[in-house]
Amino acid sequence: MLKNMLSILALALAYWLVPMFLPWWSVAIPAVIFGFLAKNNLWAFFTAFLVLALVWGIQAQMQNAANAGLLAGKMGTLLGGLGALQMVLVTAVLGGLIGGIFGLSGQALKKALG
Amino acid sequence: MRFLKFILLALFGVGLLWVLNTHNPFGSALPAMGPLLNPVSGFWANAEQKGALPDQKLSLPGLKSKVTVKFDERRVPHIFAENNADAFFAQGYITAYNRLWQMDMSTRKVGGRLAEVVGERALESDLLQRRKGIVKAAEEALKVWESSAEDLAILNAYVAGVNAYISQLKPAQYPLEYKLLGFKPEPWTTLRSVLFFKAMQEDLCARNEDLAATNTLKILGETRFQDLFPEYNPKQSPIIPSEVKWNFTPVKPKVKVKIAESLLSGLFPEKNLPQPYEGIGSNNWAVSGQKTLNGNPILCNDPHLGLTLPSIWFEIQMQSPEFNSYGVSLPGLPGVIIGFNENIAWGQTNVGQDVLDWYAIKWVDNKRQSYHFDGGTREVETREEVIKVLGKKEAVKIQVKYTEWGPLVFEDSTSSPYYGLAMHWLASDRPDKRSFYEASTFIRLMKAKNYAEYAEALTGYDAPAQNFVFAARDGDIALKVNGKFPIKQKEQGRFVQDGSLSSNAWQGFIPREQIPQVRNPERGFVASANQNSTDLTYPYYYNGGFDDYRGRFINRSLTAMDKITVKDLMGLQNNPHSLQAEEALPLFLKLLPVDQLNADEKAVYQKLSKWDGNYNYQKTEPVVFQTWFDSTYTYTFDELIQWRDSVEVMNVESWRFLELLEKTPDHEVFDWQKTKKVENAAEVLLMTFRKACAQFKKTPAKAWREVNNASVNHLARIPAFSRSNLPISGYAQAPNATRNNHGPSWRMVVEMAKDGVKAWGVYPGGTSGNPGSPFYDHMVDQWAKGEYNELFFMRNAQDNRKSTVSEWSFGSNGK
Repeated sequence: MLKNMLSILALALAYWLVPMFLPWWSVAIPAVIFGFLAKNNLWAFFTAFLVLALVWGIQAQMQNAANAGLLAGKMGTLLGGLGALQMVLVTAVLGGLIGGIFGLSGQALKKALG
Repeated sequence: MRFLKFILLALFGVGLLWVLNTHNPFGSALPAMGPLLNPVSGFWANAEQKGALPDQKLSLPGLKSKVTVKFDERRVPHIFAENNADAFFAQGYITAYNRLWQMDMSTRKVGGRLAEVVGERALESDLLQRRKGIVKAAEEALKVWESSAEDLAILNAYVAGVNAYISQLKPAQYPLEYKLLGFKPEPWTTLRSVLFFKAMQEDLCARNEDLAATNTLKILGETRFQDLFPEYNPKQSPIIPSEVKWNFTPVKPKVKVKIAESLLSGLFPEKNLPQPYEGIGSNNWAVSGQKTLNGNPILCNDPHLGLTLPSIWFEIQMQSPEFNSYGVSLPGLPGVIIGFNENIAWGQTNVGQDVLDWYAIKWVDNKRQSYHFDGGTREVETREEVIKVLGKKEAVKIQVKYTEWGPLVFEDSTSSPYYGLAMHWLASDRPDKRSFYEASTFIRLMKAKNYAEYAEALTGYDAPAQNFVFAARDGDIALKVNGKFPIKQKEQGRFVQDGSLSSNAWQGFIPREQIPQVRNPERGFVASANQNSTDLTYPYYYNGGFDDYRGRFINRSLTAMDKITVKDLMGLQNNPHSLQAEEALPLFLKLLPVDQLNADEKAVYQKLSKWDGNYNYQKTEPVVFQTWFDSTYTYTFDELIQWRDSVEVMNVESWRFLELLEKTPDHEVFDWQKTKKVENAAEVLLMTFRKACAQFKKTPAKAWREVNNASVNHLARIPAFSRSNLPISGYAQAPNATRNNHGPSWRMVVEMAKDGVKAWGVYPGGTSGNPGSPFYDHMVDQWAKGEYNELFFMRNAQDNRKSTVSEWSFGSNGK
C-alpha cells in the first residue's frame, strides 16, 4: 500500500517536473517507466491516466483561477463553444489519454522483454 | 506475440503524440493541440495573473547604463534612461514584451512573407506586395536612412532592445498567436522597422483613382466627366485659412502631360490595388489661449484608422537627459509618434494628396522585355522575389520587372499583350539625401521646446504626408501640411499617363518653405480633418481624396466656441453630428412630393424631419436616412454604377451629389436608365423613399448600433479575441468617425498649462497584446463611452503625484 502511494507520488512529481525542462510530450517518459514497474495492465493504465489527468487538471485550473477564466473562456469559444472549466477538463482528459497509453506501453514492454 | 503487442501500443502512443504535435493535422484547420493545450507551455502559460506586473530586475547585454521602467495602474510604461540609446532600447524591449506577434505579423504582411507562416491562402497577398516592390523600396530607404548617424543610432538601439527580449524567450512564453498558428518569432531587424513604416505609407498615401478616372472619362466624355467630377468643393473650408497669403514665387511645371487614353481601344480591365478604406481620416486642432477659458493653448488629435486588437497604438512615456515625452508609439518604430513634452504638443492627420500614379507601358514586342521610351527603347530591370509557402517544398519565385517609372505591377492583361501598367509611388522613391530622416523627426519632436524646433524636425519627414498640428506652452499654435509633394501640371496624375514619354514625370517637388502652413492665425485656432489643404489661391495644383464634412463642421464649431475648456473639446471629438446629413436631409425632404405619400410614409417623413443629424447609436433615424440616402445615390448614378462589376469607375463625391440636387434637380443624371420616362430628382427621391418605407414596414429599422456595428477586430480576425457591436454614436462624416471597424484610434487632449502640461487620452484597446491579459482590451468600453484617462506625465522617476504599481530595472552586465 505504502509502496503504491509512493510510486503515485513519484509519478505525479515526474509529470510535474519533466516538461519544465523538456518539450510538452516528455510526460510520456515517466508514464512508460511507471508502466514498466507496475504490477499489471489495469494498474499501469489507470494510474498513469488518472495521475496525469489530475496533474494537468490542477495545473490548468491554477492558471485558470489566477486569470479568472479570461483566456480559457476565449479559447473555449474559439474551439467550438466550450466554457473555461470545460477547457480545464479537456486538458485533463488529453493528459490522461497520453499517460494511460504510455503507461500501458511500459507494461507491454516489460512483458515483451519477458 | 507479446512483442507485437508492445510495438502496436508504442506506435499508437507515438502516433498520437505526433498528431497532437502537428499543425493542421490531416489537412484540417486545427492547430497543434499538444503544444496548445498542455498546461506547462500551452495557452495556459499565456493566462496572465490578474493584478499588477511583478517587479523585476533584469540584466540586459547591450545597455549602456541603468534603466528604470515604472508601470502605472493602466500598465503604461514610463521609461527613465540615462542616455537616448538606452531609452530606445528599453522601448524596444517593453514593446516586444507587449506586442511581439503584432510587430511580426504587420511587417510580414507588408513585406509579403505571410504565406511562409500561414500557407497558400496568403500567397496572393504576398505576390502583390512583392510586385509592388515594397521590399526593394524598404531596403533602399534603409540604406539611405543608415547614412544618417542620428537615425541609425535610434534604429539600432530599438532593434537591440526588441532582440534582447526575443532572445531570452522560451517557447512557453511565446505570444499566444504563435502557438495557435504554429510558428515562432525570429530576430527583429532595422529592415523590419522600415517595413513597418512602409505599412503606414501604404495605409495612408497609396490611395489613387487613375484607372477608375481614365475609364470614367472614356465612358462619360470630357464634358460630362468634368460636370460630375469637379475637383474643388466651393463649400470647402480648407485647412489653411484664406487669411494666409502665399508670398513666394512658385516653381512652374513646364510641360503639358499626356494621358494614356489612346493606348487602349477599350477600358482598362485591371482591378485597382486594394485601396485603403474610404473615409479613413482623422481630426486635429489646436486652440490658442485667446479662445480658452483659462488662457492655455489646448491641442487635440484623434487619428481614424483601422481599429484592431492589439491596437495600432502603444502608450508610453520616455525620459532621457535630452527629452521627457509622453504619447503613443507604433509597435515597430522607435519614439513617440503623437504626443507632448513639457513645452510642446503635436499630432497628425493624413493629407489626401495623390502621390501614386500609373504609367501605361508600351512593349516593343510580345516578349515584354523592352518598351518604348522617348522615341527609343528601354530594357526592364528584373528582381527575383522568393516566397516561401508553408506546406510546400518549393518556394514560389517571380521576376518583378522595373521600368523608368517603377515596378510593373500589372502585366498579365488579357486585352492586349502590348501594354502593362507601371506604378510610380512617392513612398517608393529613394529618399533625398539629408541630415536626418523620419525616425529622427519624431525624436526631434520629443525634444522640441518651441515652434522653431518643431519646424526644423519636420524637414526630415517625407511621406505619408501629414497635417502636423502644434501647440506650445509659450502660446504658439501652428499647423504644417508637411511632406514631400510633387509639382504637377493641372490634372497630372488624375489619369493613367503615357509611360513612353519622360516629360510625363513629376516636375520636381514643392520647396519645403512653400508647403501650406499657418502659425497663430487671427481666428485663434488651427485645425485639420483631411480636407483640402488650401483654397484655390495656392499656386500649386494637387489632387487626391479630401474630406468634405468633418473639416467644415469642426471649423464652424471652433469658430463659434469661446472660453473653451478641455471638456468642450472632448465633446467635439466625440460629437456624432454629421454635416452631410444636416445638409442632405432638408434638401431631400424639400424635394420630396409630400402630397403623394400615404399615411405610413407620411409618418416616416414626420419622424425624419425631426431628426437632428446625430448618429446616436440607440436611434433608428440614422438607419432610415442612410438607407434612403444610399439608394438615392445608387439610382442617380446608375449610368456609372452599372459598370462597377466589370471595370473600375469613379464614384461621384457626395458633396457634388448634393449640389446637383440643390441646384439642378432636372439634371440628366437623375434619369433612371431602366425606364423610358425621364426622371428628375424629385421622382427619384419619391421612388427611393417609398422603397425604404416599404422595407422598414416589413422589417422595422434597427438601432444605428446594429447597422454601423462598431468593432475592434483581432488582427487575425479571431472572433473570440475581438469586440463587436459596441455602443458608440457617430459615423464617417461626424467628428466621432466610427464606422464598422474604423474610427478614432487614439483620442488625445493636451492642455499646455503654465504650471505643467496636463493631458488626457484613450484608445480602443489595451496595453497588452495578449488576449489572456486583463489589459488586452481594458480601454475599449471606456473609449466607446467617450471617457478619457488622465495621463500621468511623470516629471522624473521619483514623481509621486500619482502612484505607479510596479517597477522593472534593467542593468547591463553586472551593473
